[in-house]
Amino acid sequence: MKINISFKPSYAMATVSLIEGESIKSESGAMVAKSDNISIQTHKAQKGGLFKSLKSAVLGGESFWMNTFTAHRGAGEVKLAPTLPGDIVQVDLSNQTVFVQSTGFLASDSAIEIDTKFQGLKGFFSGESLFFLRLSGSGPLLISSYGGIDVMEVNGAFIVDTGHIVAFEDSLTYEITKFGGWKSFFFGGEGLVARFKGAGRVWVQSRNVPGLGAWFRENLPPRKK
Amino acid sequence: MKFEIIGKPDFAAIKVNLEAEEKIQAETGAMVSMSPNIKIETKAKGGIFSSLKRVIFSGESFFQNTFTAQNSAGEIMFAPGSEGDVVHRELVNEELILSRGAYVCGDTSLVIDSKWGGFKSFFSGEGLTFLKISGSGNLFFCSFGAIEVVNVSGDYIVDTGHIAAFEPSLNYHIERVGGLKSLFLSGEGLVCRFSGSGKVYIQSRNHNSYAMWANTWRRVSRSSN
Amino acid sequence: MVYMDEAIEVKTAFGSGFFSALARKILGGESMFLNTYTAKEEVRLGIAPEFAGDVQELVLNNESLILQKGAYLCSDSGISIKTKFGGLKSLISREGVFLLEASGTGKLFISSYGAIYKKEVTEEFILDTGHLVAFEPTLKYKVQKTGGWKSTLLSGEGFTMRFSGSGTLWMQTRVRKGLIDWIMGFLPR
Repeated sequence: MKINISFKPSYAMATVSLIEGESIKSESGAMVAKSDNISIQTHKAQKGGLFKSLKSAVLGGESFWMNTFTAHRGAGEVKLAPTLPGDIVQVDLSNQTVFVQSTGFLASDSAIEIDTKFQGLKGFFSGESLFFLRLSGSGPLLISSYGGIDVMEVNGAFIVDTGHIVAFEDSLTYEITKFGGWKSFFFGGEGLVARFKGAGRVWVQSRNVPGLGAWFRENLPPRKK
Repeated sequence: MKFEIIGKPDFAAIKVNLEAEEKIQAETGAMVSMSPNIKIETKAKGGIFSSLKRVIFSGESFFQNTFTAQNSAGEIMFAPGSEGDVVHRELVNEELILSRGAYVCGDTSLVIDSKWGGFKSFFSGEGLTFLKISGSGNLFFCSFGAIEVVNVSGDYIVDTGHIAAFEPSLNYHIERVGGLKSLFLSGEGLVCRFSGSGKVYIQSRNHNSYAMWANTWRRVSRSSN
Repeated sequence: MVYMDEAIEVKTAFGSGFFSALARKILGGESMFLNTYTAKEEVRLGIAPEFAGDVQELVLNNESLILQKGAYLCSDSGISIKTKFGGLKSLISREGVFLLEASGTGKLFISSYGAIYKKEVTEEFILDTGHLVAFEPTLKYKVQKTGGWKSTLLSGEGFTMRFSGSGTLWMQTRVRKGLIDWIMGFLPR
């Protein structure tokens, strides 16, 4: 599998070249284009696994259906892109576990398991449309962001606004607190921050996903039920 | 007419320099700035019916504006509503099919047909409306995300929400991706199978997916009527 | 605030005519809500604006700049921000544009929705109000409707600022209302 990421950092798109028989798994709705000999199979997040639905599985961000693209009768390519404007980064997992924010999961090697029993890391967001996925295994993982991505090395304590977190390694511990007190609620952002401790990486995005949602909520006309 | 595309590739805008009495036609609301001697005429070009077709089928506003540099040269800057790039193409007695919302501005010599029924499909409401631009002159169209030009030779499958424009010399056919389960759960919607040879302008973000994501944040109106 | 190391003291305050502050958002046209971040040692602090677009650093040297409210991102302690100042005319605009004055000596960061395009104005120039980021106070402006009333309502162009004099103007290549209209075009009616 070869992955090439173009149009960084604002409208990044991943072109995945698969040799015959190879597959990649992606979030539903990620396909931009594909060669004719690439098949698409839709399945639940973890094939054959016990599907424990997260309440917000079909709200907002990810639906918990995934697509697996496989090359047949020769090599082929599939282009993948996320919904929001922003970046894509390839993270090569080596028998590790990472937490990825729901709108941040783009695609991964089929060998990476998505823990469907995982309850989504409570407390990061006040609503239910955003949550975290728990991914473990080895192989390439593509995460996407709203805005650009920065990898921050945590060594000690580090504070990140929860709406700006794309992913983080499970070697880190965290505590969720309010930032700025009551005034934060005026600004559409959650006002919640994660205080990370320990050593590990946090992938941070330069724009705020719940902030964008709140702005849409404010500015789009209401819809009929 | 001289032009310069600025803000490429993320938030492109078009700076046009018109000679005295030269005109350009633009989508409603596209004007960013202009010299004071530019006259704006708002009228339903081509008669009331062609404008009605434009608003109903393409989402383009009812009225196209014609900008004229009066008495002396003048400058105008235009920008689309979508986040992404702008492409200039000089049509030479040819046609180009543009996605809904991709048209920004162009020479008044170009003919815009919103009745283009090339995509016959029984899946309606998928935002499959496209415009046909024909004739000779400068055309400026935009994308949501970055633009990648694909020279099709053989079969190539593109999600319809990722098509900014394509040459009608291509054979094109709307399909469901995968089987029926794939259609509704895959999130992929409808795809266009291109074959033969010609250019497709692919955009790296999907306007249908993004609009649907924004839609999930809208308030629900409890109208008691 | 996007991220920060722990050794930063954050103080929150509000009021009009406030000075020496760093801020991420501005409330209305009257009062302002500002956070001041003071480092206790060498630390990392990430500040980002709300919208997709540019951030630009400007250095003021005992001078002022007029900013559209949403364009102010942050500044160092040498810059003061005022919401009311002499010569401010109230703007009637669909975009709800409010102006601030940033003045003093120090670094000022402005942000935009879309790309920032700098224009040296030397003769009369018309700008759609939603596209304004900042301008030098040597420029004068008048708010007007684009074309006649029919043009305004039908052309979609709304209100414009007619600038005269000479000075630098910063504009942005996108408007937030444009994003709403664009999205609504893809949703079922």
